[in-house]
Amino acid sequence: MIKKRILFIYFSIIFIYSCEFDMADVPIPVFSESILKNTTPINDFIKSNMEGVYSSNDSKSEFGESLVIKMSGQHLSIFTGKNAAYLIFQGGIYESSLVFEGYWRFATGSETGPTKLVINNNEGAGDLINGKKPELLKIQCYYYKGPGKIEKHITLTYKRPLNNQPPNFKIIGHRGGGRNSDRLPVSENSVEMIMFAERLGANAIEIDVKLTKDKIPVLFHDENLSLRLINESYFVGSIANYTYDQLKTFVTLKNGGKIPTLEEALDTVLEKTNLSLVWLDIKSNGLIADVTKVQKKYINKAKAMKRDLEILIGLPSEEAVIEYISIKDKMDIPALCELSLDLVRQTNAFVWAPRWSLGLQSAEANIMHSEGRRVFTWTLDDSQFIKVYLEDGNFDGILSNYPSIVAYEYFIR
Amino acid sequence: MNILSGKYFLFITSLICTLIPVSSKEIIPDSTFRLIFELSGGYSAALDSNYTDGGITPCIRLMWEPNRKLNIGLETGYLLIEKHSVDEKKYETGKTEMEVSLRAIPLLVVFNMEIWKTDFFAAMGASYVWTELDAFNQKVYSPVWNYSLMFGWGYTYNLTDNFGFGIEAKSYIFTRLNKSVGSMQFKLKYCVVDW
Repeated sequence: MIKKRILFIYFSIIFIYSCEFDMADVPIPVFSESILKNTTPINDFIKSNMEGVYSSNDSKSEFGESLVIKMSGQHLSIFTGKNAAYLIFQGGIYESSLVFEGYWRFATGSETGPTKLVINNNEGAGDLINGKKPELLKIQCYYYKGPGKIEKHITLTYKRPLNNQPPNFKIIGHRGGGRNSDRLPVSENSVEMIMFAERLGANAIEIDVKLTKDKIPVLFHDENLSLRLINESYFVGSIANYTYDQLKTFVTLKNGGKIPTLEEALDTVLEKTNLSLVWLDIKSNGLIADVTKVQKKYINKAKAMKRDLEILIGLPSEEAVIEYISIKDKMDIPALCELSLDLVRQTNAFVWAPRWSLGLQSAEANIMHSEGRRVFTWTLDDSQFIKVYLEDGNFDGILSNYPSIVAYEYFIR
Repeated sequence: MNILSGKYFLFITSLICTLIPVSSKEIIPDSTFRLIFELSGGYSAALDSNYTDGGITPCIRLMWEPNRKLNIGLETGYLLIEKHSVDEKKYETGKTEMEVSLRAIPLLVVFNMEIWKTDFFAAMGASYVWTELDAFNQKVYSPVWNYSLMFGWGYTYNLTDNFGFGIEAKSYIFTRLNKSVGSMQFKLKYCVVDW
C-alpha cells in the first residue's frame, strides 16, 4: 500500500511538472566590457578576404575540424560541422589587429557562451588592413563555456575559398530565418528575424502570410493567436478576427517585436538585407488575391532599386492553385508550387518544391530543370540528410529551420 | 512561485489524496444507482494574472453515483479568466481606449471520490474560450477550443437523502493558455433519480 502511494506521489509530481512550459529563453551572452569600444569599422576588402574555409588546430573542440566563415553586413558568422554550432560576431580594427566580439551557440540546443576572435598584425591583420591579400591568415578564437565561463582557445587557419557550386544556390531560412522553438533571440516571422537570417547563413527566407480582419497581409505562422507566438494570454482565436491596428498596438511577439505587415517585411528585405529570394507561404484559403497585390508592388520596387530579389508566392494546395489560376495577370506573379509536376506546369510556376521526405526525386528534378524551372526541397533539418541532399540531389535550394547547417554543408563542399 | 497556481494546487491535492486513509465506515445508500444534479456558484479569479478582478461563476454538474468509490459526471459553467482595460491613450496607430476579457465555458468529464466524508474532484475535457476586445471602435469576438483540467475539494451536508448543500474549492487549468483559475463555490445538490 505504501509503495503504491509513493508511486502515486512520484507520478503526480512528474505529471505536474510536465505541464510546465519548457521554453526558457537563451539570452545572447555578452562580455562585461566590450573590446570593440576603441575600434574602427572593418571595410569591404577585409570582409571579402576573410570569407573562406578554415581548419582548427583542435578537432576535438566544440566546433570540430573545419569551419566556414561568411560575412553578412557588419557581422561575421562561423558555421561548423560539429554540434550544429554557429558563432556570430561584430568586429573592428584595433591598432594593427582585427578584433571580433560575439557568441557561440548550438543551433539544436541551448548551450552558448561569449566568444572573441583576434587576428594579430603578423598573422594576416596587417596585410588585410593595408588592403593586401595575406599569404597566411590565422584567427585566435577564445570562447567561454559553462556556468564557470571556462576559457578555451583554438586557432583557425585559412585553407581555401568558399564553395559556390551549384551557383545561385538558395539557403532558405524557415519562418523568416528560424523558429521560436529553437530559442533564438528574435521572434519568428518578425522584421528582426528577417534582419537576423543572413547571420544564420540564409540567403533567402520563407515567411508565413495571414490576413487580418481588415484584409491586411501580415506575417504569422499559426491560425490562432496563442502563447506559442505572442505574450498576451488574453488574445486567443484566429488572427483574422482582429484588425491590424489592434494587433500592432496590443500584441507583442514572443521574443520581442510586433506582428509585421507583409509590406514592412518586404521593405526590410529590400532595404536592410542582401537576401535574394522571398518565399511567401500561404497556409489559408482566400489570401492569394490580396497577397499577390503586395507581391507585384514589391517586385516592381525591387526592379526600380536595381535589387536582385525574387518574390515567389507559394502554392501549397489545390485550392491555392485554383485561386492563383483565377488571377488575370498571373504571368507577372512568379509562383512556387509544392504539388505535382502537372500542377507546376498548369501554374507555370518558376519553382517546384517537393517535401524532402519524398526523397531525392532526381528524375523529376531533371525534368523540371529541362523545362527551365528550379527545384527547392523543404523542410530539411537533419545534418546527415542535408549533406546527402547536397551531394546526391539535384536541388537549387533547401528550406531549413537550421540554415547554419545548410550553409556549412554547402560552403564546405 | 505562486503556491495557489494550478500545478501546486494539484500537487497538494494529490498529496492529501495519497496520504489520508479512506474512511473505514463507508455510507451505503439505500439504492444502487443515483443521478445527482448539482448547481453551484461563487467567486473565481485567475491565480497567475496581473489583470483580472475576478468574477461570479455559475456551474452545473450531473453526477452518476454507481454505489462505488468512484463517481463520474459532466460539468459545465462560465468563467472569467482575465480582464484588462486601458484608458484612452495615444498610440502610433491612433487614439483609443481598450477593454479586453478572456472568458470560458468548460465542458468537463468529472471524477469524484469521497474520502473522509469530503469530495475530491478531478476533471478533464475541453473549454470554449473566447476573447472580447473593444478597441479602435472595433469589437472583436474571437473564440477557440482549449484543453482543460479541473481539480477540487468539497464538502456536502445532506439535509435529506435527496437534498444537500455544500462548498467547493477548485482550480481550472487551461493548458495552452498557461492559465489557472481558482474558484470558491456554494453548492446545492439534488438527487434526480435513484434506482
